[in-house]
Amino acid sequence: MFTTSPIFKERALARGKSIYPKIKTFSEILPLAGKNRVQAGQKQRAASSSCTQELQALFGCLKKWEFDDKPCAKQHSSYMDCVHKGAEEAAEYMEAAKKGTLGDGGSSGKSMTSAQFNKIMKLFPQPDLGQQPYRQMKRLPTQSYAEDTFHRKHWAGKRS
Amino acid sequence: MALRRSIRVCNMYDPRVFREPITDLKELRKPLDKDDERNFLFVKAMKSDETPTFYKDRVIDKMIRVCTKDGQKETARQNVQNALEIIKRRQYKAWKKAETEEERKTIELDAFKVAKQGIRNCHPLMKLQGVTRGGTTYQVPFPIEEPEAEFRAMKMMRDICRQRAKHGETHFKDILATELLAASQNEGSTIQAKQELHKTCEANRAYAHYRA
Repeated sequence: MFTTSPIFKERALARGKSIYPKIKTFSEILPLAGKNRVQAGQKQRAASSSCTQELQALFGCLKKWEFDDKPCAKQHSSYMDCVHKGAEEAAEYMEAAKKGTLGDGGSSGKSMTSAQFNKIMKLFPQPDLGQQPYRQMKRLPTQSYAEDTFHRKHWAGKRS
Repeated sequence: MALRRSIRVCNMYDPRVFREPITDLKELRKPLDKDDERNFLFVKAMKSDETPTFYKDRVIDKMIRVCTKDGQKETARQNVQNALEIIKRRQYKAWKKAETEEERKTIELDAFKVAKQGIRNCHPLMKLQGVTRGGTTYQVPFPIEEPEAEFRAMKMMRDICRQRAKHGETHFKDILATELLAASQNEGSTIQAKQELHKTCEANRAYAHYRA
């Protein structure tokens, strides 16, 4: 004699699961909005060129003259000019980023630099973005205020 | 931040009563201004490499500094100056030996000029610097400015000369004189070492984009 119908044997109910369709609830952990900052966490730097063409020309010349640098003064000077120009641009970019200059000064009119974007986002932040940390709570709803059973008292979270 | 902002206000010379010495000969010959503080204050001792002499030379002084070992600057100065003397003697010998006027014109008798030209010829174009990307260290060719190139040329020459002067094989001054003379003609081991460096840079040119 069996108590369970054999049809349940392979079914979900036999494996301890509900036979009802799974209910998925949506909860908004983070507000569905963009951040107030781009490139957060990494250092801001200008899109630098590594002067590849000039370097190739210099190495070509060096190879031609068996790595003697005397006939390659022209290539070397053009390469150094390129390097200096790149360094100057990077310094300009850093200066603009530090000052937070708006307008097309830092990016030569092409597009907004990330520094400029961050500046604008600071002036006009996203509404309703909330505060960090978004979901972490010092006290779970089931815990009492008095006893700090799980040592969450000193967490960097919301007071809840 | 607090550490960085604080400036050292006092060394062995109290800044309230000591002033900088005059090291320029032309300045030295002129009388002091009426309102110059040095009229009634102490003057610091002159640094040993700031002597106002006609043979004082920026490049040679730098060479002396580069050749200094264990803080023995006087020994290094003796070495470099003796090397210059050897260059002078060799050049003068060659000049005397030369028969035609044209030959004599090609021989540079100024040892300082020879040494400076030699060091100038040893300037490398680039340097190799280790850059770690993804756990691997790559030797990346980096561009260098003129002062650094000068320093690296001197250092290369010094290392080669020290290597040769080991175990009393030669004296440092002799090999330094030989190297400087050879380098002024764009030959010698230092020039070879420079070309080797260029070769390595060329081999590692694929890593050049790691320069950031």
